[in-house]
Amino acid sequence: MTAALQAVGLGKRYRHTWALRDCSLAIPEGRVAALVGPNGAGKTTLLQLATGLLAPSAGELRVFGAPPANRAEVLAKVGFLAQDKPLYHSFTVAEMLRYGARLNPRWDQAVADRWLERFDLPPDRRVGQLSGGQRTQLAVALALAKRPRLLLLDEPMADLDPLVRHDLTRLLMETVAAEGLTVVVSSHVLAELATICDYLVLLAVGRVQLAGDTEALLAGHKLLVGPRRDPPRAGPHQVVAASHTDRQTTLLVRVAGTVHDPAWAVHDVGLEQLVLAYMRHPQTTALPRPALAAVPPDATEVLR
Amino acid sequence: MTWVAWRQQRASTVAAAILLAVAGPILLVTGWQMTSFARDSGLPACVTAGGDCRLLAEAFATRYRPLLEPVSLLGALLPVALGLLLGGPLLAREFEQGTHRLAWTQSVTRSRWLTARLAMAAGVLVAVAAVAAVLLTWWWGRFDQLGISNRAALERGSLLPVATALLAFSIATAAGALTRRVVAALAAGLVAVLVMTAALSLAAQHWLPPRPLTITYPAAQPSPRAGLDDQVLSSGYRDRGGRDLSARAVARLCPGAAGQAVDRCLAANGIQRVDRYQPAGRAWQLALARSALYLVVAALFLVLAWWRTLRPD
Repeated sequence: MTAALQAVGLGKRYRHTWALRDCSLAIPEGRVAALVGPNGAGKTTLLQLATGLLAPSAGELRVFGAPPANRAEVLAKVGFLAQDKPLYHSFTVAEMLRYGARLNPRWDQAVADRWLERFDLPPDRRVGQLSGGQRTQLAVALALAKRPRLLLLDEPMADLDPLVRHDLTRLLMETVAAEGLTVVVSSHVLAELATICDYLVLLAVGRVQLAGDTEALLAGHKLLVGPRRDPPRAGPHQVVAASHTDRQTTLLVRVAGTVHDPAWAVHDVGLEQLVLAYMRHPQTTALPRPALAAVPPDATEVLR
Repeated sequence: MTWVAWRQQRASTVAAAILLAVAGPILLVTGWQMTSFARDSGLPACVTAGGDCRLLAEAFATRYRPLLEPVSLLGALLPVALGLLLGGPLLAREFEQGTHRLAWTQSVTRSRWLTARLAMAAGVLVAVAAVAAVLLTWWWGRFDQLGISNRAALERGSLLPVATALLAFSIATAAGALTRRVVAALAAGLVAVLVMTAALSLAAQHWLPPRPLTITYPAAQPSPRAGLDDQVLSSGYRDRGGRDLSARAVARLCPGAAGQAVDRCLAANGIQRVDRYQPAGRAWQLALARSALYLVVAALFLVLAWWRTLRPD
């Protein structure tokens, strides 16, 4: 299986602080991956490393097996929407699309026109006169009409009202399904992404805390409710988070096999609940078991 | 990429054209006035006939001398302004507004993008600066025709405005790549351009060292070379043994002397004055040397801008 985005021991240092450290992950092709973490966790840094805008300070990163250095064939495969949605404010909407058409050989004008129409963006309006939401729509249209194989979206929904957010998400997913492209969306609000993502990467302060297929992650974690047990232990299962009342203990565990202890009532966890539990305990990590992440750098060729 | 480069260049091209549209008429109108005033006074005819035209030339010079300073300043600043205008925002605005993240994530490599942007901006600049150069050469040429000066057009016109504009452009572009702020790039660029042009003009003088002229006292105060349209750069004192003396040391030799007594005292002490001058005939060599130095340094600053922009953060 080819990884659309693969990092091994990836690190990025700004002067004296590491924005991202020892980051290893592999996002398979065709997935919609949510890149979640608190502010300052390194989400933007990871995405900018993947575009080649930043150069790694340590480790390496590959996009479809090739380093995202300054090469036209790699650039053509990756669409990127930066957090501040940069566009040329003196350009008109039509000129902005012409800009995309001139700089991208795989440009699909039909895609761009369809988006313009769906969001009712006037072609002769200057970008500087558009609202924040319209600018996001234009920036997304620009990124999609490039027809990338990997789409990197940095906090795309942050300044959108709920209705536009919903429409944009739906349209984005339609395109993703039709084109079969890989998407990595960052956000610090998981609720935005819970319904659309099938892969999850959780970054704690500069490190990968949790990564994997969402269904596998959900299946691998359970909520155990039983009589008060302090200190909280659950046999072979790794306790991620624990809470107690006077008589009762609730544990969120990463299960190792089936939970046999009859004292526990076993419940499924939701994605948001799971992520919140990990975010509250940044020292706990859970990386995919058949760890792509553990592959040494020289073996990455084999994976392609 | 050509359309993109042009579209991004459009606003500053218009601004440069406006600058030219303001400066151009000033030069044209004053130039025409000078020509017609001289013609009416009969100066050109006198010069052609080879007569003694000093009175006519003096009348012309008295009337138009007040223009020389402002036009010199305009001629010096116009190319600098054009260069800063096109170079300062070129990279700095992209960084400032974050649009470099848009530009560098299209399917075009940074080097191709930068080549296209630089080529378009430099092309527009050379075109606009060439018009400014033609205007300035023509304006200063008014004096050449009248036999008043035969080097002004060379020193202030010809290649120099274009070379100056390119120097200012590349310095401002590099400043933009380093500071990533338009205002900072313009401010740093302006200071750097003024320092560099002064330093390079000195360097050009060094390359073609001025000739010394030794004058024995009693000596006429204005250098005898000045009347020959030579450019006197400095004056110094030298004693009998050929050692250089400071003005203060010379003053100490003749305390209390004034007027012609000073000259007599200096002559008695064996002091000579040494004027260093550039002969008029070298004007074109000096102008060429300065232009060449400007272009070489401009290329170095472009390399700096290139290196800083292509290096990923």
